[in-house]
Parts: sequence; structure tokens; C-alpha cells
Amino acid sequence: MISIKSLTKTYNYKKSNAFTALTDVSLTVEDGEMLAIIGKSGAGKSTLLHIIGCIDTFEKGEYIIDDISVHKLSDKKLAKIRNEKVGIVMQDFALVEEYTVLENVKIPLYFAKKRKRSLNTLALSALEKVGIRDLAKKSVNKLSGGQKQRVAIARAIVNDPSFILADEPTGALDTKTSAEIIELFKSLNNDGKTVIIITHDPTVAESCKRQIEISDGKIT
Amino acid sequence: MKYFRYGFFSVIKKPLFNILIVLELAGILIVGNLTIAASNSRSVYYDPLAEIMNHEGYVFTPQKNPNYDYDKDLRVKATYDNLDGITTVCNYYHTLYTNYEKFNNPMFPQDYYSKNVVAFDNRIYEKFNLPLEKGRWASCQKNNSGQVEAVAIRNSDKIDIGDIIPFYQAVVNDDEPYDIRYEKIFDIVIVGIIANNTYCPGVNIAINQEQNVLGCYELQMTSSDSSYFVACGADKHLIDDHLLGLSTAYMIYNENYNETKDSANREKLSMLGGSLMEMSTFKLNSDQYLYDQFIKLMPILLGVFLIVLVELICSVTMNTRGQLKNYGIYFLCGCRWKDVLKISLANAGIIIGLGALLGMTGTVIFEFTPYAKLFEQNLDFNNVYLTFILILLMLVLSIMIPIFIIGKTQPVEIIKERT
Repeated sequence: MISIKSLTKTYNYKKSNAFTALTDVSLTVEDGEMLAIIGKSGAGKSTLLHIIGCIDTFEKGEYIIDDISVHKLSDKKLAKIRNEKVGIVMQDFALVEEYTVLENVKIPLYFAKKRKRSLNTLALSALEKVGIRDLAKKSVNKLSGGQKQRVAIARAIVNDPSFILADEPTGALDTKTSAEIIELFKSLNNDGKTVIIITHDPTVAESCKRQIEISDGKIT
Repeated sequence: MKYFRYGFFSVIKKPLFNILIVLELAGILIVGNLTIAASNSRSVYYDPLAEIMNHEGYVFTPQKNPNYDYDKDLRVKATYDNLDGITTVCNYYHTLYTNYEKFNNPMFPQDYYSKNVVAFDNRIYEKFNLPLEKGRWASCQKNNSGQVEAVAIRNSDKIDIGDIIPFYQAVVNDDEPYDIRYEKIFDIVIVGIIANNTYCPGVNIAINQEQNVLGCYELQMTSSDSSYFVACGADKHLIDDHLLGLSTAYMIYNENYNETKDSANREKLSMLGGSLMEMSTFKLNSDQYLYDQFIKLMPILLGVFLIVLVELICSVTMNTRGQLKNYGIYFLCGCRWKDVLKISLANAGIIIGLGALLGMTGTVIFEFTPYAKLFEQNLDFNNVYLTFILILLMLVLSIMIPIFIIGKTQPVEIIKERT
């Protein structure tokens, strides 16, 4: 479960050009939920996702993920949460273009210190789940947008995390491919994963069981 | 291991860029090492005489005889022997005759041929370190068969290790002036062959206008027609009895030396005829020679360091900045931000390691080519120091620049740039 209480995020904190991106945000996401966070550009959606994904820090408030209070955790423990508890999917796929599909999917496994012999099995199993096992040896830069997003999702789930965080996952895809990707997220949600999707696309938002809206750094 | 893995991936996934950097680093190392090797080769001439030059004394070169003059040789020797209060370290140089089969002209098989043998006083002989193509440096002792050991330059006569060359002295019959007979005086056994294009210890410092250590050497090549044998002159048999042609002598004052003795000695040498130079002047000239050589090579060395600096700053900056996007992905996947520095270092370490390996291999290979001697290259420990310093400089820059770039960048900024 994710629990956020009265969280405030200020960029350039205590500096003359300080800017508050999130103000007094409180949010609870139950296990197994599929949640859409919607809002206009610059509303603070991505900032909230970055904090949930332990990519960014915050100044005030409380954030608890699976009973672990994230505030002021060491870099090592934050890295462990990013590696084991959350899988992150970005709009631009965030793949290493020079690597093959399999090499990309194996990245989190290396940082998880998994046994070398199991790496290929786990990575291929993740690719199987997103339906592109046959592309394992292909270079990422030769794939279509939809295929790249599937690789990104495979990488997000390869360590079997509880939470899948997706930041505008269909933003760079056509309508048909977007629908396929959303179906994939639904399928993962049905398998028990908690899915949080940042989007400004109403169609994507409607496909989620619950929606919340952020405006000017506050949940409305 | 995982950091090394991703460092290695960064290298092999951008082969062209990284090969260029490796080649540049190797090139810099080779140029730096060859410059130092050239500088080393100058001190190779200086070092054997360094100890002697630190003493007070003078360097004397007897006036050269236009023709062979046995009496003059005897007078030089007698004069040297009669000098008071000094130690004389000499070169001994003589033209002897041989009928050794490899020198023979088939048209005149019975003829004797004149050959030059250079011997050195054992106080400096052992310090010469001439590069040998094969074999070993000759000993100062006669071998069990009573033969004098020598090293030789390989010329068109195809002199080789194991050759035993009989040497004769020409004796003119008093009764018949045109009747020359040859008396065998010793055999030389060749134990080493000097590498081609080697500057070998010569006999006459006066030939060098600057009157410094370089004048003590002559370039010996296999293409030369003249034979060249170097032996140790410590053996009394060689010096006292036969090799009487005394050339440049280094004369060192003994402890009890005084002005009276000095005046008398200078008078004796003056009567003999030749050039006398103070040891301090000879040392000054030689130091100036080394300094001039160093000054000539300095701009190249500074240039190499400057190139290393600029090239490394550019390539490491480009490489690190180019990798930041991937480092952001590693961060997303569970890598600590400070650990991406390790990946960056592994990446730089691999490139520098390959560059250093290639550079060192290239330098050593060059050393074995004929061009190395032609350009007076001489690898020694200075090259190890230079290579170590250059690699250290490369490593320090490869560490400092990524620390600066990665330390100044927040991972979330890289991730935001993507969205």
C-alpha cells in the first residue's frame, strides 16, 4: 500500500527562486488498485510520480510504501525500493538504445544482485508476459514505438515489483497501440500489480478503476 | 563486477568513438615515450664517463699521426707512464693485420689486411652498455685458451659469434726495408655482435668540435666496410705489449696532486703534442650538450602533455555527458547515483587500459625496428616513469571530470529532460 500524507515538494528549497510543485498532497493507493492521475501540463503529476517512484525527494509530509517510511531514507535503501518495489515506465520508453531487448530487460536484475544463471530466464519470462519474447535478441533501436513500450514494461516487471508507475505511457503511441498497452497494464493489474498511470488522455484515464486530478500542485 | 560490465558495454556499444580515443591515447603514449627514449639515448653517451668527469683533471688527445709511427706511439706511452700524481684512464687504438679467411680477397688469398681494434681501460669499459644484436659483452679476462674476448660490428665480412681472428703485427726487416714479415701476437674471439647503427666508443675526442662526450663515439653500421672490434684493455698483454696506439686519455688528479706536479705534467704533454682540455671544461661541455638536447626535446614533451590534457578533458567530458542518459536509466532501475560514477570509471579505465597497452606495445615494437637506432631511441626506466605519469594523469582526469559532471547533475533532472 502507498500512503502519502500532507506532502509538499518545493524545488530550489530555501532559495530565492523556490517553486512549490506539490502542496499538502495526501493520497492512499491500496494494493491491487489501478489509478490514473490526471491533470494539465505543469500541474504536478510527474513530480508526484517521481516521489512515489523514489526518484525525487520532498521536504515536508510523509510517504509510506509497504510500511516503509521513505522520508530521509539512505540512497542505498531508496535504490532498493526503486529496484524491488516499483517498476517505472516512461513516455519516451527510457531504454538504452545501443542494447538489445534482452540486455535492457536484464538491467534491474543486475542491480538486484540476482544469480547470473537466472537472469536470462527471468528476463525472457518478463518478455513472454508482454508478448515479445521473440524480439529478445533484437536491438532496441530497430523496434517500433509499441514494441519499445512493451520492452519498457517488461523491464518494469522483471523484478516482480508490487507497483507499476507509468508516466504518460501512451503519449508517444498511436491510438491502436495505446489501446494494446493499456490492455497490458490492465492484465498486469488483474495479476495483482498496483498500477498508477499519469496521463492527460481521458481515454486512458477512463480505463482505470479510479482517477484523481491534480491542479496547481493540489489534489482536487 | 556489474559496474565493470556496464563500463565494458559502454565501450563496445560505441566502438568507433572509443577506438578513436584508444588510438589517440596510444599515439600520445608512443610519442611521449619516443621523446623520452631519444632523451635517454643522449645520457647513454654521458653515463659511462660521468664518474670520471666528476674528478679534477684533464682530457688529453695526442696529435694524430698522418702515417703509422711506432716510435711516436712508444713516446706517448712513455710520457703517460711518467706522469706524476695522476691516474690515467685511456683508450687504446691500433691497426693490426690479419689473414683471417672471412676477410680474404680470393684474388689475393695470402694477403694480410689491416683492421682496427679499440680497447678501453677497464675503469670505463665495464660502463659501456652497447646494444648487442646477439651474444654478450666481452669480459676483461682472457679465456681459458688465452684468447682475448671482443665484440664486433657485423659488416660485409659476416663476422659472427665464435669466430677466432688471429692478429699480427707487421715487422719491417732492417736489412730489407721492403720485406715485411708478420708476427702473430694474439687471437681475438668474438663473443658478441653489436647492433647495427650503434654509436660505439671511438678513439679521438678532438674530432668533435664541441669537445663533449658525444665526440667519444662514432656511428657504426653494418653497411660500413671497416671492421670494428671492441675489447677490454685491462689485460696487460693487450695494452703493454701490443696495443700501443694511445688515443684520448682521461687524466685524474690523485690526492697528493699539487701545482709543481701539474706544471711538470703539462710540460711533458706539451712536448708530446696534442690537445689538452680541463676535465671541468669537458664536463661543462658535456652537461651543456645534455641540457641542449633536453631543451630541444622539451617542447615535444610539453606538447604531448598539453595534448593529453586537452584530448582527455574533451573525450572524457563528451563520453560522460553522452552516457548521462543511460546513467539515468540505471538510476531508474535501482542503481545509486554515486554508483553510476563507478560505471563511468570502469568505462574510462577500460579505454585507458587499452590505450596504455596499445601505446606500450607500439613503443616496444618500434624499439625493435631499425628506425629506433637510426633515431637514437633508447628505452629505459625513464620510459616506465613517463608511462606511469601519463597513465596516472589520464586516470586522475578520468576520475575528476565524471565526479564533477555526475556530482553536479541530479538524476531527476535527466529523467525530467526525457519527459
